Amino acid sequence: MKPNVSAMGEAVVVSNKGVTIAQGTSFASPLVAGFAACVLQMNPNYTVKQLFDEIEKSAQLYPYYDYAHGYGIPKASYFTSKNKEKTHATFRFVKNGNILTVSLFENIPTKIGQKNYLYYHVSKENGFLKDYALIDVYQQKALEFNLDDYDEKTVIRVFYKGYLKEYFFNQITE
Amino acid sequence: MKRYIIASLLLIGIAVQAQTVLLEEKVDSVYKKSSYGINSTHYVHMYIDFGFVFGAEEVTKFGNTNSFGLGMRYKLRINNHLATGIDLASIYSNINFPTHGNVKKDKYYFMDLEYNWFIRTNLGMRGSIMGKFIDIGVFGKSNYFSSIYTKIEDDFEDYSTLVYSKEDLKYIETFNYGLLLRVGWNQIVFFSKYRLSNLLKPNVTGNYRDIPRWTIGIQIGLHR
Repeated sequence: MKPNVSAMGEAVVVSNKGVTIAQGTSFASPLVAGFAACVLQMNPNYTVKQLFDEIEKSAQLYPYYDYAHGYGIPKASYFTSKNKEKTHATFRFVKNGNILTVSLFENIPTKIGQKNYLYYHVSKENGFLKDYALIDVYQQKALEFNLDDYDEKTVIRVFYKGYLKEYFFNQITE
Repeated sequence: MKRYIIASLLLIGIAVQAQTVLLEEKVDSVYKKSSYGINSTHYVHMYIDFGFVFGAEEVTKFGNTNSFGLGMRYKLRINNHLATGIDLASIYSNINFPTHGNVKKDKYYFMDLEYNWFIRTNLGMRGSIMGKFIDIGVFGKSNYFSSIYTKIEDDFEDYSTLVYSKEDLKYIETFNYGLLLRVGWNQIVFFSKYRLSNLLKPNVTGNYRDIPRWTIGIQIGLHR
């Protein structure tokens, strides 16, 4: 899967046109490389594969992933904090006939720009994604899926505020 | 990608009501799996071929008896371990016979269109490289140019030099066939070929010489 993780890719640069904003992996990659160096300094016994895996696990979306963010932005707290954050259920699936609704537990203020980011993807049986999206939600019924449009081998995964839930067509797992 | 669309969205199979869609991708419409690639279903690449006719020293001069060619290979993947394919190459051969006494040079030149069919067994792991493999197959070749060149220096009488050269040799078979074996590692391929057919036509008379049936050599694949 590419990308594996994400980082800020925007920088203020000076060019022939003066001061401007540029973006790209040229800016994001050194941040992750520096992060990896810090992790390795903290855990000098890590093999390259262990380092790679642990950085993926530290990312903010892990184990959710998509082809735009990978596992998200790596978090230093994963390595520095002894007490791992506990995640609480933030939404539930409600199935009514062939309609699957993602219903949020909390009351979301109906205001634009709150950054209540909800990620979802639809995955094939082999783990490859069919489609994925990122939505800024501000209502309790955040998403609806018409299950008639998917075959039985697909999996729907929704990630919202640190909580991941999967919908397999026969069962729901957390 | 749709950014900041504040509206009711009706996607295929998904109803999103009054939300801000920051990112939305249909993967199948963006990422098309190609069937063409070095380890995909189809792959075509060119190669350079250097060969040496391999046989008894009294028949040919090993090293001076060589061939050079340029070919094109098509590979069809059957599964993860097996592939098949065909080659088409133009091969130039330069056959030197040992010389004695006043005979200073005695050569055949051939230009052949060679085609072969092979079954490939892939060995070990490989990613976006060709990897290790063994090919077994059959080849055929059609001769479209042949010549003989003989140079005799007479140093007893008038120190003259006699050169005999002839093209389009009628006593040479225009079609030959045989077996081939190749062992490859990425771009480097070692091969051996054994010619089953006779080089000379069966009804030929005279002091003409056949050449050894084995050819060994190396091919350089022109791919990454």
